[in-house]
Amino acid sequence: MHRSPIIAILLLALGCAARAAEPAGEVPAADAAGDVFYPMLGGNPARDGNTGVRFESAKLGLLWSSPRPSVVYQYQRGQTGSGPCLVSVGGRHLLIAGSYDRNVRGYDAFTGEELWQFTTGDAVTATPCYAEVGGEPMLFVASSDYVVYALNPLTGQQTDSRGRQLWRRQIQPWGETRAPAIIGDPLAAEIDGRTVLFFTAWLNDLRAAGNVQESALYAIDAADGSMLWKAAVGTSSATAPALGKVGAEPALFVVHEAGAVHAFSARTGQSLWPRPFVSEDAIRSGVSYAEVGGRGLLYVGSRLFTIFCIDADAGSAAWSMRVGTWVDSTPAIRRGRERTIAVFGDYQQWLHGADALTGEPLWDYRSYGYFASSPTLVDLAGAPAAAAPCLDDHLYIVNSETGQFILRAYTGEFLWSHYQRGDSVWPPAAAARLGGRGILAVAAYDGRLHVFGVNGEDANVGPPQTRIFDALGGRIFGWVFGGLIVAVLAYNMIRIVRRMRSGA
Amino acid sequence: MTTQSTTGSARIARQAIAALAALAFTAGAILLYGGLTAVRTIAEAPGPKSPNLWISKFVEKAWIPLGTTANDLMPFVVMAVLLGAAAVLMRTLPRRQWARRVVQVVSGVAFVIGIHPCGCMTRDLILGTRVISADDLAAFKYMVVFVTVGAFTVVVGRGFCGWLCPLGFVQELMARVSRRFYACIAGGDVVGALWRAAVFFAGAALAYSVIVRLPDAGFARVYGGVFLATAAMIALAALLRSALLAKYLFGVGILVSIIYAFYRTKPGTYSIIAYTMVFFVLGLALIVLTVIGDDGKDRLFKKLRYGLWAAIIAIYVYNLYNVGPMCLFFQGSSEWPVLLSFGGVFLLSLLVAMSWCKYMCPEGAALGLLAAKAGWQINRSDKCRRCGTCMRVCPMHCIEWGIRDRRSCIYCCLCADCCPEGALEFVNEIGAAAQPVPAPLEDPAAVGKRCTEARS
Repeated sequence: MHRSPIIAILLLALGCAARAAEPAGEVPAADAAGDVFYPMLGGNPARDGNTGVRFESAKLGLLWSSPRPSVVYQYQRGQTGSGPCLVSVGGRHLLIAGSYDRNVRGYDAFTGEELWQFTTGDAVTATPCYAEVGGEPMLFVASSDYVVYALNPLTGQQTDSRGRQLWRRQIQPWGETRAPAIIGDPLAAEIDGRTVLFFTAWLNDLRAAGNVQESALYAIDAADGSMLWKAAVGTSSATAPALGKVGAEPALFVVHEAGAVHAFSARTGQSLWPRPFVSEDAIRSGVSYAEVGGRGLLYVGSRLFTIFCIDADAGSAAWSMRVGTWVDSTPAIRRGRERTIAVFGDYQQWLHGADALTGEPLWDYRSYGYFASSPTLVDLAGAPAAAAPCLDDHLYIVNSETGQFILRAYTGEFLWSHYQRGDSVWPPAAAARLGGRGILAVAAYDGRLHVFGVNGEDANVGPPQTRIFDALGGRIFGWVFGGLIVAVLAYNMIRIVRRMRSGA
Repeated sequence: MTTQSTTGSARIARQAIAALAALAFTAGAILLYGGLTAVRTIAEAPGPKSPNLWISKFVEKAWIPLGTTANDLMPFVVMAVLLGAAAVLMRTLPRRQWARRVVQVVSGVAFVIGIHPCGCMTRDLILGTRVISADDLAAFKYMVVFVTVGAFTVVVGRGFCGWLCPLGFVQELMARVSRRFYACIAGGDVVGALWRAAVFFAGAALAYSVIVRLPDAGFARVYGGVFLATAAMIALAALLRSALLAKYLFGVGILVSIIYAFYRTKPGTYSIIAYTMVFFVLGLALIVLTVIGDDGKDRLFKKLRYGLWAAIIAIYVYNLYNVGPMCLFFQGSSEWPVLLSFGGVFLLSLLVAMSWCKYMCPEGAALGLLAAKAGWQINRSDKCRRCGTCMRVCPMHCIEWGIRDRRSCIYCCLCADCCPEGALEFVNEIGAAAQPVPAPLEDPAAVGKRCTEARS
């Protein structure tokens, strides 16, 4: 008796869980308790940054920061920093992140207590990916050592909860190269009843003899690690793949740094467009997919000072929006009350909001540094919000529908004395709701993880202030240069007055 | 003696009254017509966003795509054709200025709205040499423009600068526009000078409307305030009949404007290197202020460009991001460092012709080194009467007593076209001995004074 409501709720929960694995990735992965995970880069296979995470208050405090890594980040072309993955497994709320010191670490998401550590053969620059495979929670780590590891997310060991050995798959023999791989962050999705792991890898061996430059998209069976297919992308780096559809076919979209966007069948790895979408200049942004107005659309920034919206079926531009500077930030797509909005940052210190269907600019917000990573979309006290780490050492949160400032939180001092603009693209902030509590984690430019949540404190330091000495190159240089300007002006004023008085 | 001192006192009194009148005009105009409003508008407005320029290239997609990359041979083809046309025209025509203008316009159309090359030859050379053997396609893409222009320069000198470069073309036009304006000021023609300034401001506003967007109320207030301040400077300088003072005041205004815009656009802590060219332009403003009315310092500052070229090389060797005024034309970039540096170059060319090309341009410095031993040279013949015309007309100020600075000459051929004796001729120096210098026929000091006055 009275079983119908219970069955209905169960069916609804099952439906939500099933939709989480759908290619469109519109609904983030969630468990039946209403928690929302951040299982991979971008929050879902479509990489649209739409997490659906709610925070009860707009007052976010710092929960914890990780200690400094033992090996600091080194610049490398096409390299990204490893973002965190936020999930709840076996009653534990986990934050899992890779590091340049070759390790993957699991932390308690709310306290920062280090629970486990797993060492790979090289830097782990790709965000780990979580998925349940055959009812077994699994974590997939693609390392620069050309090996993909399947781990138990609870223990960090290569044995599952039943003690069975988990797999590891080498995608390139080390005998063929001395160069580490540059990995495009993996995603896991259900394809034809099978969980498949997709990722890209770029082999960039510049030796005069044995020179190899090759990037490819890989599909691996998440259950046993067997290689399903491999598709060549090009000779430059390839960004993290995004899952969407071309017609009815599940498709993977990959950006080739040389300036092209490719579409591959998620089933076979065959190219789905007659020719790739080609930009006039390099593309270092990732690609995101969203269904807007009944159409499958792709969003990608570019070094052509332009953001492109590409029709996923046709492989041609639906619209483009000129920004005037590089855009390496993958656009995040928010379904708003009235319209769908694409949110992205640029290298002129701006966050932009544009109509995702037409490309009409809606708002912009200025920070104090470069946006080299993508926004993450959350709800802060009922307001739609976009959170984006910025190279001015702060995390910015603005209203994603109006661009109004909400919060700016300090995320540590940038570690490196010189920054090569655009050489590295950092991961977005990760947002999840674990155990009924919202959490926002930033893999920051100081080489540490900073985790924010509602804890009664307020990390907001207010909007940025203009500093004249920064504009003139720092305090010392500003005084020297300013003094020189005043001296030259005075000297010439005296000279000209003398000439005028002498009648010359 | 008494009469002379009385005349002198009266002159000083008249100048003092004129100065006071001009100052009163300045204060009144600014207070009455919105100068304060303009200042408040700038101060209170949120930080400016770099505008989206209406510079969309006709060729946005590669015509000859190689693989999946966007390599395009079009920049190479267009550059080679235009350089070849320039070489033929400069050697065959007796008067070359119209032909040069045509080539400059075609080049401007081709590179500004036609195709999408990057004109930064120094950077591309460094990037290209880095990837030779690793990525030959990219190496070709990077180096093709420098190799084309460099090879041309070895034979024909800096013809690229004088015939093709859109930035040089714009500076030349500005110098021409300003010549009559300063003549009005020197002649005390306040109305004429103000009228010309008004036309210039109106033209700039029209260009802004077409290229950027239609002006709004805030823009009108700021622009009106700037115009009133400029008008006050013009009135003051014209009343004192001093073009030199006008240039100084404009120079100070430009310098302050760039610094303020720099401050307003807030370069982030890690983007300061991207603003290197803005610092160069600030330095250029200081040089221009020092050079106006004193050509003697010109030679010293011309050597500066080699140091700046070295600085640019260091930046690119470290692979740091850097943009400059030329990126506006070649890439259609509207980043703040591009707009600020271009704005500075554009306005400073109103004070000293081709000032960027003379003192700062790193690409020009690189090409100048190649041009020193160029095969084609413009040399003096025995027909030279040392009248100083070539010195007077040279936009690069690179002729001293008939001796041409080969590293600075941009082969605009104005000297040869204007020489009343036809004494300047193209010669092929490949394998030939250096030409003897004819003896002076006129007092060099007198010619020099006349040329300096003409430039001022």
